[in-house]
Amino acid sequence: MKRIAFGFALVFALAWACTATAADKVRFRLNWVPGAEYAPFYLGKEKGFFVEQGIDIDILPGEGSTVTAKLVGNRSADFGLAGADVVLMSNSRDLPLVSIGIMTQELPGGIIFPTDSGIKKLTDLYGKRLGVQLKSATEKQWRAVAKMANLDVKKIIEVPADRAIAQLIANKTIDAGIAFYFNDGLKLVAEGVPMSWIPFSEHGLHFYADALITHPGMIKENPDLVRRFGRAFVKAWSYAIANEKETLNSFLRQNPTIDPKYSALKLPVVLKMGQSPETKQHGFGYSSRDRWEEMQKMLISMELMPAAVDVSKVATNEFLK
Amino acid sequence: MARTVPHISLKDLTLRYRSKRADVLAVDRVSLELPPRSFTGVIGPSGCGKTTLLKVVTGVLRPTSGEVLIDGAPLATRNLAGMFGYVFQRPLLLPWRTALENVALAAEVARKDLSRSERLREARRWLEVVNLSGFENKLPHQLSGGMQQRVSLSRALVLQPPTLMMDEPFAALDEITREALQDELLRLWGVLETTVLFVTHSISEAVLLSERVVVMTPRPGRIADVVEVPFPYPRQGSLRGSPEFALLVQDIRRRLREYDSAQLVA
Amino acid sequence: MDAQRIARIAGQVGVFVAFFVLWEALVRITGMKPVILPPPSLIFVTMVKQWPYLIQHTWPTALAIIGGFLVAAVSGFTLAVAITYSRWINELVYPFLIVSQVLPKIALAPLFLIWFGFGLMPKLVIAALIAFFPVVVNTARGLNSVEPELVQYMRSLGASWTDIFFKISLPWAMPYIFASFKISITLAVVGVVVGEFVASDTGLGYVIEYANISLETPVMFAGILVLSLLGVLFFLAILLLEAMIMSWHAEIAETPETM
Repeated sequence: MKRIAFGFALVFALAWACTATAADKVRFRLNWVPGAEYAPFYLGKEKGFFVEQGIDIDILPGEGSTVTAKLVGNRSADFGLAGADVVLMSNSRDLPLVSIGIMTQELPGGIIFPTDSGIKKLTDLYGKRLGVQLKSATEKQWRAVAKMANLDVKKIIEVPADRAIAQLIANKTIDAGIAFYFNDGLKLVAEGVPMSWIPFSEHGLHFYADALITHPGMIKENPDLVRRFGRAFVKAWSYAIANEKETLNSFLRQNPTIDPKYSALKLPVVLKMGQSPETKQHGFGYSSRDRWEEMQKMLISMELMPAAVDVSKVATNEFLK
Repeated sequence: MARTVPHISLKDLTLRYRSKRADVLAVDRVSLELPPRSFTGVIGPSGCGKTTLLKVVTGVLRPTSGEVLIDGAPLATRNLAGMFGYVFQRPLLLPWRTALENVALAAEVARKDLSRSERLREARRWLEVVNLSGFENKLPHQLSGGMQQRVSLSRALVLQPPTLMMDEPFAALDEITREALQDELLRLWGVLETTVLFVTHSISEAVLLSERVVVMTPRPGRIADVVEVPFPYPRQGSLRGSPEFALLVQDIRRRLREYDSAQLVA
Repeated sequence: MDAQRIARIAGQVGVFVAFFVLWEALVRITGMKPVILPPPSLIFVTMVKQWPYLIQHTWPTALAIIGGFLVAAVSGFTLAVAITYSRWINELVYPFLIVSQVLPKIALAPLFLIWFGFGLMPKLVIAALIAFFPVVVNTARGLNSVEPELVQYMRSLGASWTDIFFKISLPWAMPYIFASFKISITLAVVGVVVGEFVASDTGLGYVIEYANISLETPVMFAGILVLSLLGVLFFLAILLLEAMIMSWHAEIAETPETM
């Protein structure tokens, strides 16, 4: 009897010790301030998808892909979100990062404009005032798109607009702007202005957008943690895609100061952008080597990357299962 | 430039002002005659209204009641420009001007009719009078405290004012310098034709320099006594050592104590 | 130049050298990636390589700094004179002045783009707004510190208001005014750079921000370095001006309080 009790106590103690140390604290850095585009992460946190993988996730706000890339590259964050283009650029500048999954399969950037402006195609921009955020990734993308479409940019009046695209469209300082549709575009829709957009992804920029990234050192030292995180990531997003309403409510609960109307408009768009024929076939977060190579070629021609890198070291799907 | 030296009368001067807590009676019914070319000392402890009195006499402050008469006419009706020379307790020289330029400042603002070279010439003359020849081009910070006060005195004299007001001018100096300047003032006053009103808190200084000493008591500022100083002019610094001098100083000190005022420096 | 002075200058230079050497050593020892924190050697090399690009963008920044500072200095001085010599203006304006200073204008920078458009204007406005307050406060303090007894005496001699102001008050306030200029010029630099981050496609602020986005951290630091040198240059210009105008002051080495 004593031996059984002792054995029981030992097992109990061991189990308790294991669970006590099993929850890994993970610093997860977004690439912007909390918004509905990150709702599935919040849902995953609330529903315990991360906890069941032994992960205690800390969702931290970000300030742009470049900052998150530097933080992850510096091991100040364990995982993060950053644009796939930034991932390639970082690698080409001796800041190794690995994408373990793709959150947004297509670029969210494009040209946004009020629906009643009469703009249907790129050449309709001639003679119109176009707001551009200088020094940004979207500006570079716009230049590439304009080049590929053989636009005569002299016929377009470019107005430097920094991040005030929505405001400037609202007060009619500009007719159209280069922005993320689900940000500035939907913000205006939420205020009652019907908006349309021409996405860059439909004009030759077939880039992956937000990628889930980590440091190669993390993969080397703790591949198990990376696998568990990847698993939770896929589960959270897959669940969110199937349960939009629940995801929205969970997000709003955890972020009560964010405009619910705007979030309700944004979430379906974001969830849709996480899916593609490839994800339907291979699972959420999948990325193909060919497309990464294509991206890299494009970035080099846009002079954003000084030299090519080994794409096989930059992106992987192995942690998504 | 010399004007006739006027006779100044103070008639029943009262100055009352409102401070944070209550009404303050700074000067209470002060009457005094200042004959032309007289040297009058005013002593009293702090707060007895000495400086206020000077300001009322020069027209800077207006009395609540009573009047100041210049040769019989009220102060307000007179053109006072250049009437009063003023020496403060601190030299108040402009640090960016040389001694010469500081003295010339008085002429710059009061005698615009003179040319620059004329003004500088006058300034140089009066610096010489106070024995500062050779220091004209020094800046104030290059001069000792005593020298700076001499520049200040020179500035007060350059316009040859008929009246010289001196408000504790030597109080901030060390004893040796103070005595030297007192001797110099004695010598100067013998040569100048000015009325002097000399405020001090030093009984011996007042007695040494003045023809008569006005004793004031504080709260409210009133004239308690006017003591004649019988020693003849020209006076020498050695007067300080004489027994009659010491007796007079003692006497005044005793009277001050009787008038229930604070301890004075002798 | 005596030996003591040479030794002192050598020491001061030495501090900078030591700083850079330490930085270089730390980066190398820790294996810090240049994208995160580049070593000084790389920054200097980049600066030399990119010199034409950096110089091209230094002019608009310098222009905006000078413009912003001049606006701040002139308007600050004028307001200081007004609040010193007019009691009612002083009472009316002072509370508003304090509140406007406490307001973080840098936070308003993105809005300036919408109100003032793009280019020189928003930079100049931000710089002037930030640099303006020290001038007002210190000039007013300087003007108020004039010895009242002396002024009264000069008045009694027949001095006019212009006599008093130009011969006495203004020179008296000079040390205070220059102290405020030294603060102001550095604030003008900050203001212009912030304006360039947000509302410009020229200038060193633009260079820094652009390099940041492009992960060209060495260029970013080179831009910061050039900006620092520019700031130092402007500061020295003020010192030179001060030495020329107030040679008497340097000798006394009297330093009034700064805000």
